[in-house]
Amino acid sequence: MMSTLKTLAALFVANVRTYAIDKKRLYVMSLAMCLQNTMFFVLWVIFFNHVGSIRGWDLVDVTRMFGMVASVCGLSLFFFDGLRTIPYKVSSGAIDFYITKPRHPLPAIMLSSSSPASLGDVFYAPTLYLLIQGVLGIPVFTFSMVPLFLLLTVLSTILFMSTMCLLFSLSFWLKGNPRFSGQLFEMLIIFSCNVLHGQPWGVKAVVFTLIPAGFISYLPIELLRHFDWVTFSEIVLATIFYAWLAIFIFNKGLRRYVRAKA
Amino acid sequence: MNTRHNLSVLMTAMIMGLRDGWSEKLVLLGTLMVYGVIIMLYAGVMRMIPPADIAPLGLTQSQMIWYIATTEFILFAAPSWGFKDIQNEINTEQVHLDIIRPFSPALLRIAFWYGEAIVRFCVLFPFYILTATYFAEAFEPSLLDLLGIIACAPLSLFMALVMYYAVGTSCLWVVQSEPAYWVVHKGIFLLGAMIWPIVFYPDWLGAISWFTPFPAILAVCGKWVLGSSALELGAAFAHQVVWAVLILYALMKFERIVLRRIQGEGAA
Repeated sequence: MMSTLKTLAALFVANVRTYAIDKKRLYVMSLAMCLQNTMFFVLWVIFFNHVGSIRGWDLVDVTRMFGMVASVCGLSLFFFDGLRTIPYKVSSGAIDFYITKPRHPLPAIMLSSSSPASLGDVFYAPTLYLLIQGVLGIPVFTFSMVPLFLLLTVLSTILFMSTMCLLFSLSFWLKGNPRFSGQLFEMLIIFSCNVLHGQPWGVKAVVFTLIPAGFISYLPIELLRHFDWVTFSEIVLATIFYAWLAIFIFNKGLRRYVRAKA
Repeated sequence: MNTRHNLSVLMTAMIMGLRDGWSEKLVLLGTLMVYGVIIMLYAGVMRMIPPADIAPLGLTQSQMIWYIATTEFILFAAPSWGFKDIQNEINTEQVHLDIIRPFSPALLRIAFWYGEAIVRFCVLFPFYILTATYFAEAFEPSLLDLLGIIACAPLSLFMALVMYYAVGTSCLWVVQSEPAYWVVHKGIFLLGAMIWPIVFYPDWLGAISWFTPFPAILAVCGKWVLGSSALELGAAFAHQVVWAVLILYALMKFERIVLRRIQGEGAA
């Protein structure tokens, strides 16, 4: 166990060290990410300028949701951007490099890449909250919320990564088509940063099953509004289930890949 | 080389784009799925808006749904990922093969993408009508409005593709093209009024947006489903034509700068 953790830590450190060579890339991409998040967020500010609230959700909730999704997305892609490379690895055969090693290939694939832009996402949440609360005076956050926010961010990050793994593992069946998996990933992000509160049952059915964005952004924000143990347990159970499902689907796909190669 | 020859070269590139666009069936399916999901989500949001909040703006929930369905339709019809091909060609120096041809590489590339865009437009159009009608629970535009959208779309697509070309070449100056892509794409969202019509915007932001080319890409097409007057539609179309001409002129100038940069220093 310890040696596995050491290997994973070494892989992560190796990833981060690549940034030292090209700091300009890291800064430019992080700033651009922050800028694009802000531009998208402004659309919601414009919206709530005319519409007071939508079924009880207002700018405060949308701000919290944006911050959480940015953190979750940023953390996932900063540490585990390798998941997005699964289709390329499958189509190019580069995955052979990982499956010939004695350890399970998934952790090494997950840690095989880090997105420099994701750092902009990670820092976007605190920047947004400070700006909205400090400059506009809108009460987005209290200090008592911080532990719960951090815990929910960790759970949502695991869920987000698991969903990424599921979506990109589909490439084992789709002949490594990267664009289709990319489109599904886009759907995950679209669902995650949209107002799911009050949506019709059809949308809810999708966001709590196929694309579990409901557990990633909607329920955590509901918990920040009013904490209850039942909802919290649902998030924990969903996290465990989707993590298991992701590993299961990845293993299935990998076996299929190995059989096809044999 | 005369105009006829130039047009035939562009036509050939466009036909290649048509074939390429049609061959990627899975990507087309993905596009329909993502488009459908976006409209479903935003239709849900629009349905939750109290009608009294948007009545002073002269809008209804149904119009808002049709508006976003129209703007997203145009955005989805223009293939945006082509900028990565340009970046890749510059980084691998394959771009040198493109620039030795006796024809504008930018126009050739845009004509190719235009072919892809036509396929995507044709595939998405019936889906757009069905999706918007289903979620808005009403067929909002008249036949004339639909014809208006079809008439405005070619210039919208052209301008979007020129922007994606410029984004692709931005890696000659900035470390990668992605940052420029994110900013331009969100610029189209925000200043092009992709989600909410410009009447939603504060006056100052609405005025600023009309001084940029972004509304000419999306808002001009969206105006057709908002029950705008003939005068408004005419002004919007004139705005689109002016920006299309300016963008074509800028492209020609910009291409010279790009060529000089490629021949001189290469990627950043």
